[in-house]
Amino acid sequence: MKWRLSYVVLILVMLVVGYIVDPIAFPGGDKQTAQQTAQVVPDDDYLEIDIKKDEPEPIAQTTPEPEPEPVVEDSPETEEEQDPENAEITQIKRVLGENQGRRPVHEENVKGVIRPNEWHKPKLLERKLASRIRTRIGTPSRERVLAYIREPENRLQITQWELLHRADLDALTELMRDKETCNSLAMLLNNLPWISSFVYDGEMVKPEVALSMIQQFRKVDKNMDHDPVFDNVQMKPDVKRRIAAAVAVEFTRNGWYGAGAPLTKEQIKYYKDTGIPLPDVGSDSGKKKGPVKDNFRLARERYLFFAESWDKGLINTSFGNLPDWLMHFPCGWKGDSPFGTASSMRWQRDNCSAPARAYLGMCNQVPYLPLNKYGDIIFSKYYYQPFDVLYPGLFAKETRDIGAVCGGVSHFGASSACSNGVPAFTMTEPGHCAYAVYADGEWHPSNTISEKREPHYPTWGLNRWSALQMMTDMYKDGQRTRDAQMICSLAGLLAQNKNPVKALSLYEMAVTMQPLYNPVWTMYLDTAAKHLSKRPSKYLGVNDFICSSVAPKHPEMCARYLTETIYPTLLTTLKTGKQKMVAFKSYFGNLNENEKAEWDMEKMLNMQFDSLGKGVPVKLDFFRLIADSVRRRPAFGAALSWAVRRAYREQRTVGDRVRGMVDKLLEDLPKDDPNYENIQLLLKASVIRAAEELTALSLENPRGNGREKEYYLDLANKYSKEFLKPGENNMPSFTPPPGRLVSPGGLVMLDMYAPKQDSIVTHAAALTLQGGAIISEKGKHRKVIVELPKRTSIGGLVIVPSGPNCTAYREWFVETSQDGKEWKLLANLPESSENPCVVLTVKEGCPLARYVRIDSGAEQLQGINFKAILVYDNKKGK
Amino acid sequence: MLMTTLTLCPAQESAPPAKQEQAAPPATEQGQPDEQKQDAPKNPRRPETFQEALNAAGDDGVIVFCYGPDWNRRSVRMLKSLWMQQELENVTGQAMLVAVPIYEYPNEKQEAESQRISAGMPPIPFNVCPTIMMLDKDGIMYANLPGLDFLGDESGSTAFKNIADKLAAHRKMLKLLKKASSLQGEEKAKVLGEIGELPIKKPNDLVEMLKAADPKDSTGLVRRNEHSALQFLYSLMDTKDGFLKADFHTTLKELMDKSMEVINDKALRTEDRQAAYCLLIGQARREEGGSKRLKNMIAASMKIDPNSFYGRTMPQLAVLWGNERADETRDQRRERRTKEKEDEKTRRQHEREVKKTERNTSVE
Repeated sequence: MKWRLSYVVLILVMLVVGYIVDPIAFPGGDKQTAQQTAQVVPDDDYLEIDIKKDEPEPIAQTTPEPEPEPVVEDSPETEEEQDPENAEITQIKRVLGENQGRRPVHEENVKGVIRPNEWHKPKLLERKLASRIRTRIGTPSRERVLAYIREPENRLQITQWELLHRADLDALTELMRDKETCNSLAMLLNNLPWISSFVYDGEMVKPEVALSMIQQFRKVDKNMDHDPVFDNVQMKPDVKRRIAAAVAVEFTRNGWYGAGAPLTKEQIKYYKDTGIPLPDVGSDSGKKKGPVKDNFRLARERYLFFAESWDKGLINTSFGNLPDWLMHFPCGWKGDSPFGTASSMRWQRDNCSAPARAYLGMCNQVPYLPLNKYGDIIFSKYYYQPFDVLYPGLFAKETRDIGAVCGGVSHFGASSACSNGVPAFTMTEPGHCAYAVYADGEWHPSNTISEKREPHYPTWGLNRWSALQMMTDMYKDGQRTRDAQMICSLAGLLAQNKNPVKALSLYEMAVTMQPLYNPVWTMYLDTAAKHLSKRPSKYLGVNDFICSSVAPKHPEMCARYLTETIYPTLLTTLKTGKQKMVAFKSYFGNLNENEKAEWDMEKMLNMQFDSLGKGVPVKLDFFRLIADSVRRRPAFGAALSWAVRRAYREQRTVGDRVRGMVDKLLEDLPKDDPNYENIQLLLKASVIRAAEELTALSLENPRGNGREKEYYLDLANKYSKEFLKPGENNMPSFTPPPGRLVSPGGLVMLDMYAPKQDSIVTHAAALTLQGGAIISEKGKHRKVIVELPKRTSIGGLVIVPSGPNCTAYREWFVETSQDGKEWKLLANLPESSENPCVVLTVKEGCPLARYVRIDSGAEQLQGINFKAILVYDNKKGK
Repeated sequence: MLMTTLTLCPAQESAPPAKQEQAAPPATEQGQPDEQKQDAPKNPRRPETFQEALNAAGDDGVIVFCYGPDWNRRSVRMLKSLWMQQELENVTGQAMLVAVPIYEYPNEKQEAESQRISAGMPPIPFNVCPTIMMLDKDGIMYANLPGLDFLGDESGSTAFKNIADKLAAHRKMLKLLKKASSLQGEEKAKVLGEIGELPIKKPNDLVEMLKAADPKDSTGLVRRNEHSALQFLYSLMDTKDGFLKADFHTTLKELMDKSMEVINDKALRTEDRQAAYCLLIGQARREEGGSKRLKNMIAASMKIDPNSFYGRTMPQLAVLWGNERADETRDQRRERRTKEKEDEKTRRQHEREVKKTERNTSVE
C-alpha cells in the first residue's frame, strides 16, 4: 500500500514539475496557454522568454574568455628597446600585449579543474560531468541559467561534457589509456579558452581523432605551449595551440588523413634538414627503420607549416590575432589538393606575401591557358605531367609558370592568401571557379562572374555564400554566440536526460540569444517536433521570430529554415489559408529593402502557394502579397516573374486579376523616389523575363491561359522599346537577305539566363536593326529561341554574335520549328569568322516557322552572346 | 626624412585603422632609432622619397625595396639585414636606394607617408613583399626581384649577387645602345641583338630598332627577338582568344611543316625551337601513342639543348609517354574501336543531313 501511495505522489510531483506542460512562449504564441501554464508550473520552472525585437537579449555577464588582446598603446621606450637585438621582440611584446598581464598557460585553467587522471576514463567522466552540471543547475530558470554560465568553471564543465558527448568514448578511452597522452591532452582539455574554441569554433566531428592528431603534433613540436620567439615571457603561447586545434578540427572534418602513406624521400629529407624529429607515430610496421607509415601526415605537415611560420615570423602578423573561427580557413586550406602540400604553401608564403587586400589580384600572376605547349587541354592529365619533374611538390609555382584556367587561377589566389595566414577559400560559380579573401573585416569575392556562389568551405554542411555570410555575422557577435552555444549544450544535456521540456526552454533561450546560430535551430526544431504540442499558435510564434531575426539580413537562410524545418510542421497544423497567409506575410514583411535576391526563391514560393489549397480568394491574396512585396522591394522582382508564370496555370479569373495587379504595380511606380530609374528597370525587366519564361512554358504546356501570354508579350515589347537606345550597339554593316525583316515584335527565350551579364530589357531590341544584347550562360547546347510575331516562311537570317569569344563559335547551328516542339535543322553555322556577322540565305524550300532556334552546339568559352538575331521572310522586292 | 617602422602590428578584425594608429611605431630612418636619425649625416645615396631618388639618379637608376612594416616581419628584418648593409651600397654602384613601406591597414598618417615616399613610382607587381625593383633613370623598371626565389634568404647574400648581376646587365645594355647608335645595318643589328640576350627586361622598341637596322632580317635577330612560342602555338590553332582546338582538329601532318620550319631555324632561341617540338610531341602522343616517331622526336628535341627548361623535361617524358599505349588493355581497345566505328557512322549520317540542308541554304 505504501509503495502505491509513493507512486501516486511521484506522479503528482512530476505533473507539477512540468513534464507535460508546453512552455513555448515566442511572441505571437498562445498567451492564454502561457498564462494557464504559469498557473500550473512553479515560477522557477517556467522560462518565459520575452523577446523584444528592438532590444537585443542581454548577454550573460560572464568572465570573458581570454581573447586576443587589443594592440597596446606605445609605451615609453625602455633600455631593452634600445638594444637592437631585442628591439624586435620588444616591439612584438608591446603589440601583442605583454602589459595586459596575460597569464601563463597553467594559470588559464580555472578553479575546479578535472584532474588529469580523470580523463583516463572518459565514459565515467561524462556521467560525472552530466550529473555535476544537472545538480548544480537544478531547475533551469532563466536567471539561474545565466548565472550558471557566468562562472568559468561551469563553462568549462559544459564544454568538456559537450566534447565527451560528441566523441566516440570507446576510441577516446583507447587514446587516453596511455598515461603520457592523457596528461598531455588533459592540460589542453582543462583549458577553457582552448577547449571552447576546439569544440565550438568549427565543425567538430570525431573529436577523439582530432585529439589523437593533436597529440601527434605535440610529439613533433615539443614547444607547442612555448613560443620560442617569446619564450621568456610566454607571450601568445596559445597561437600554436590554436593552430593545432584548427588544423585537427578541419582535417578530421574533411577526412584528410593521408592514412598509411609512406613518407617520400623528400619529406624525410625535409624533416632532417629542418631538425624536426622524424615522426615515429602511426607506424604500423613497428620497426624503427624502414619506410615510415604515417596516418596523420597531412595534418601534421600543415600544423608544422603554420607553427614554424609563426615562430619564425614568416606569415602575416595578423594571423596571430585572427579569431579562432577565421583561423580555420588558412589552417584548413585544401589538405588533399596539390595546392595544400606543405612545400607548395611554403613557396607561396615566401614568394606571394602581400597585404590582405592584395590577394584579390594575386590570381593574375597565373596565365589563363586552356592548352599547354604540348597542345594538351587542361582537363587532361597531360597538361602538367611533362613539367612535374621540374616542380617537385611545388604545384603553385608550376601553375604560375605553366598556366591554368579559372580553377587553377582561383586556387592560386586563395592558396597565396592561406599560405600567408590570411583567410580565403575557393568557390564554384556557374561554369566557373572564383575565390574570396577576408580583409577589412569582410569577405571579398575575386575572379568572380556571378553571384550564384557555392563556397568550397562548407558552413553547417551548406555550400552557400549566404550561410557563410550568416556565420560571419554570428561570430562577429562572439560573446553572445558563445553563450548561446553553452546554453545549447546545456539543453542537449537535459534532452539526453529525457527532460525534453526543460531542454526546449533552453533551446529557446539559445535561439533568442543568437538567432543566427544555425545548429541550435535544427536541434530545437527537432526536439520541438517530437515533444511540442501541435498548436498552430506556437509554431506561428517561432515562424515570426525567425522571420524578424533572420530574414532582414539573410533572406535566403531564413527561407531555408522555413522550408526545411518550420513549414513541414506549421503548414500541417494551420487549417485555413488565411492563417497560412499570416505566416507568409511575416517573411515578406521582414525583408530588407536593400538586400539582393540572388538566390532561387521559387522553392519557397511554390511551397507556400501549394499549401493554400484551391480557393481563389486566398490565392489572389497570395499574389497580392507578392505584388506588395515587390513594390516595396524591387530587388525581389524574381518573385513577380514567378507569380506571372504561376498564374498562367491557374483559373482564368486568377490570371486576369494577376494581370490587373501587375498593371497597377507598374502604374504606381514611385516617381519621386530617387531610385526610380533602377526600380522601374528592375520591375520591367521582371515583366519581360516573365513574358519570356511564360512563352517557354507555353511551349511545354499549351493548355494554359492563352490571354496571359499575349498580354505579357505586349508588355514585354512595350517596355523593350522604352529601353531602345539607337546607335549604341555598333552594329556591323551587312547585306541583308532579300526578304522582309519579320523578327521585330517577337520574343527571345533562353534556356539558361546569365543574370549578372544579361540585360533582359534589350532582348527585344536584339530582334531589330538597332541591336541589343542576349547573353546566355556557359554550357553545351545552350539555346536561344526567337518566337516570331507570326508564322512565316523563313528566307534568311542575320546573326550578329558579340562578346570576347564571338569569332570563335564552333559547331553551332540554326533550327526552325512551327510549334516549338519539333525542330528541323536549317543550317550549320561557320566557325571562326573575321567579320562577326553571319548572313544566311535560304535559296530553296523556305521552311514555314514560328520559332527559330540557335543552338550553341559545343560548349563555347563564354556562352553564346548576340547583338542581334534578325529573321527575314522570303517575300522579295519589299 | 624616410619614415620606416619596425613595430609589428597585427591587423585587427574590426576597426583596424584605429588600432594601427595606437600601435604606430616610433619613426626611424631606414631602421635607425629616431634619436640616432637626427644625429646621423644624411646619406646622399639613400634619399627619402622615390621622386628625390629619381631626380638625383644617374645611369645606374633607382633601386627600391618594398616592405610591409605593419604585417610582414620578414621584410622588416631584411630592411636591416639586407637593405641597410654597406655591402648593398658597394654592389649597386651609383644607384639611388629607396625603401618604400606598404601598409596593410594604414592610418591616415601612415597612408600619407606611404604616398609621399612612393609618389611617381610604377605600381609594385602584385604588392609582393619583400620585393626589390630596379628602375632606370627614367623610372622604367628593368628588373623585378620579388620574394625569396630572387632574394634568397634573409642574409642578403643571394640578393646582393642578383642585384649586382641585373645592374651589370643594365649597364651593359646602356653601353650597347650607345654603341649601336653609331653603327648602321647588320653591325648595328648584331649589337642590338646582344641586348636581347641580357637577363633583364628588354627595351619595348628593341624589335622595331632591329627591323630598322636589318629590314631583310639577314642576321635572323628580328625573328629571334620577335618569335613567341605561345603566339606560334596560337597561330597553328587558328584561334584568337586562347581557346585552342588541338585536341579535336589538328593532325600531326598539318603541324609538321610549320613546326619543322621553326625547329630548323637556328636563328631562334633553343627554347623556342624546343617549344615547337613540344607541339609535335604532344600531337604524336595523341595520335600514335608511344610510337617510334614519338621517341625520336623526344630524343631530337633533347639534343637541341638538354639543359634548357624543355630539355630537362624530356628524359621523364620519354619514360612517361614512350609507353603510352601500354596503358590500354585489349578490352579497352576493342571498346574504343567499336565506339569509333559508331561515331563514324553517326558522323556520316550527320554529314548527309548537312549536305541536304546546304543544298538549300547559303551562308556568308
